[in-house]
Amino acid sequence: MAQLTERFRANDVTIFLCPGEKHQTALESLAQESQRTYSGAVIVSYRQPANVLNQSLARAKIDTAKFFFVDVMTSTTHKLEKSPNTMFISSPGDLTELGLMLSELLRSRAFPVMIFDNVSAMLVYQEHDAVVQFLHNLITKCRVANVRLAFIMSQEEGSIQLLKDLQMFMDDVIELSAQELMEHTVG
Amino acid sequence: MRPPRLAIGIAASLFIAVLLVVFARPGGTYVVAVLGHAIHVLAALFATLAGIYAYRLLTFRTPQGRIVGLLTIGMLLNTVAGAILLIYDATLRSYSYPSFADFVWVAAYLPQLAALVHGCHRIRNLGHGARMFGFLIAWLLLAISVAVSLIVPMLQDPTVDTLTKIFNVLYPSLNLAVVLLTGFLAMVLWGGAFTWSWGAIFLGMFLLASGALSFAYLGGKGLYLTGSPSDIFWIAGFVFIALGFVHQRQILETPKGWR
Repeated sequence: MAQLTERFRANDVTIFLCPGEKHQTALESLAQESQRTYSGAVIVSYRQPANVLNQSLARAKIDTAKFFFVDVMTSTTHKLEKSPNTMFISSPGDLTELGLMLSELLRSRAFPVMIFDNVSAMLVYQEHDAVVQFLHNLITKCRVANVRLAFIMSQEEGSIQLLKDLQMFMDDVIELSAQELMEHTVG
Repeated sequence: MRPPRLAIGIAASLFIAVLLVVFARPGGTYVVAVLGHAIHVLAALFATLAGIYAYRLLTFRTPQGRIVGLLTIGMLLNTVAGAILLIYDATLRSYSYPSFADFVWVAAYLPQLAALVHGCHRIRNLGHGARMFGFLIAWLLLAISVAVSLIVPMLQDPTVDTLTKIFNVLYPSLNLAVVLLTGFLAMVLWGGAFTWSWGAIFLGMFLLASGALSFAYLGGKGLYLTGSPSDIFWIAGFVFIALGFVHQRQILETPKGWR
């Protein structure tokens, strides 16, 4: 798994491609690395609610106090409740609200790393071009703010076009096999 | 996404101007030559400015930024070469081939090829196998016909000196390389947010190559004069490249409300 940690450290903006069922492992690996090497991270979650994510990271012995969660999913099913280390977005398709919130976090300079999970899921809520435009702007803002940005993306048919467009703005695209992620979990 | 009115206005004005010069031929050969080169310079300048406009949202640290930046440098060198030829035409009336402008024109291919090679190296070819295969076959047929009808006869011509032969071979070869690499990028990115911008840039490069190949063919037979219908290819080429850059900028602009 040296590939994930080394290349995460070596690049400012990276896409980590992983098989769908291994998303959680990839996220935990990146969170562990953020905790070990940096002082914490912002995790933007398009895959699971913040409370579920919080619990799963805690189970993986990750100090969740070092993380800040931007929860895009909870609003679709539950009433939003205030939480000290979580911000909620009122709708997954509202990129303006998400953009403003992330800009605010970047301006605060409180976190040196941002992990975006799962970028492919954005396509469920927004048009392809709007997603590319949004992510390009996020990348630019992160570069300006010196924040390391990691995108976790599914290796599935629907993500190919997005990957094609995004790879033009990335420092690196890393394909993580199920075997590698398994080794990392065991290690 | 429609291009801004200013870009459409400039593109339309350049087309109308070149059509007037080529078909109405106002003021005789000298005026047509000067006007023809002036329009060429303006069209290349339009592509350069559009490239700068697109690059301002990018950074040289990303592949996209490096590609647009280097292509823009290529367009700038095209503008400089055209301006040198315009000065020659306006003041000297006759000059040797290859002139200093030709050296600048050949130099303009270097950043463009660097940009495109870098793009092709960085990008993953994910799918579109049939379209890519069709494009490569079409390019191969074009390359063979150019080699047979242009390059080999020019190399075998005993009346032409070595330096002229080198330039005569360089122009079509470099153009074929640019078309191949731009086409590859356009095919790979087809279907995504950059379909139209890379499609327009590819079309532009193809038209510039068509202009250069027509120039080489007609020049070889002693039939080329500035203001020939083949000049329309060059103007159209620069215009499409400019519109491609402008579209790329539109795609990447900060969404409204997020500042």
